[in-house]
Amino acid sequence: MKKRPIALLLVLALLGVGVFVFADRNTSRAEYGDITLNRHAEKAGMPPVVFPHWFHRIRFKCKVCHPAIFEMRAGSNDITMKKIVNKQFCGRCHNGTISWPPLYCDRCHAGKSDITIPKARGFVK
Amino acid sequence: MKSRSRKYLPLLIPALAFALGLFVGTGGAWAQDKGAAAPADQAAQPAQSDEEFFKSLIDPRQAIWMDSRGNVAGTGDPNSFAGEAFKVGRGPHPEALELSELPVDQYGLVDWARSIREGYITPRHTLDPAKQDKPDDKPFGLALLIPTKSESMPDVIFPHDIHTMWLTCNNCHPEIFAMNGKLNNKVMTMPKIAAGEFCGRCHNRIAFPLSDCTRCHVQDKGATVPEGVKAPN
Repeated sequence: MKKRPIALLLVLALLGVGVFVFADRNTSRAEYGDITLNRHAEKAGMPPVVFPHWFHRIRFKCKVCHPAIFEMRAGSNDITMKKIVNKQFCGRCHNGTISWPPLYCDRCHAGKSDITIPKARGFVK
Repeated sequence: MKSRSRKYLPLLIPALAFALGLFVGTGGAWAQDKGAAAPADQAAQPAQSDEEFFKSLIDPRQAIWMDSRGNVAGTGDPNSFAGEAFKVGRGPHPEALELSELPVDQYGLVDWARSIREGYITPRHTLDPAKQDKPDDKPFGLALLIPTKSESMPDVIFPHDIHTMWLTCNNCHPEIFAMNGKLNNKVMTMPKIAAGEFCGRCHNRIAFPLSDCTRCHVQDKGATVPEGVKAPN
């Protein structure tokens, strides 16, 4: 009879903490179609780049960037910061005229080494 | 009486912890509701748009701007915010995709075809300032019937229409698909597509996944082919 309030206490405390933890709305997560770029980033001591396709797709049609700026095959674009600053690749827009300039490292270098991008359901290579 | 109240005293602490968790957890939602309700209260005062109202809430020295991933992108006065794009009103970014309120498919992925057809989005078609004000080329309407190699699977109708709303000819031709339907149909198989060739260059990666079978396999074998759909000759 005496143990019951303690059990109840524990359950309620856990529930309270659970709500506290899982209601965190500010957790960012990867989306379907996101691309990680890590050929040079981590070797140079920077976190991998996460490219959000969806965000750009709302604003531009595919043909704006493909294939003139980015070849449509993973691994076929050798992107470096130097090239971006020289207005190639991302720098075609991210130069302060069409979009913000490449001065805010953590906006793109936002990935962790073990980042997982959601894969398509069903057929996955 | 006294013993009873002491018995329930330990309950008070977890109850408080629960309430605190709830309060902090839903704090964001409450704040948003408040924000949404506030303009209605202000409706009595004319000549103040929602935008002006929200701007009046922000102390520029205190403002923190988030990027699309929820990271801090900048602080301070939005008018001095980085980038010319921001100054002309193209920002700040939505925090996340779910806040963009685009239509979704059965998997909860954005239905980009509906988004562009129904005008949820109007993506730009060029970076060239001289061409920006001109409308994009009209989509190419040709629909192609692609017979399947299996007897049990309906045939595919490929709509050029929606693809050319996004893409131009040389995105796919001739590198991914030869300009010869007969040849393509012979070599195209589902395993190859699943391995990332042909349609699989985009579908399953950026465009909707291959597991959404009936979005492509629409034409039952033996049924009359709709008008305007070109069957292989």
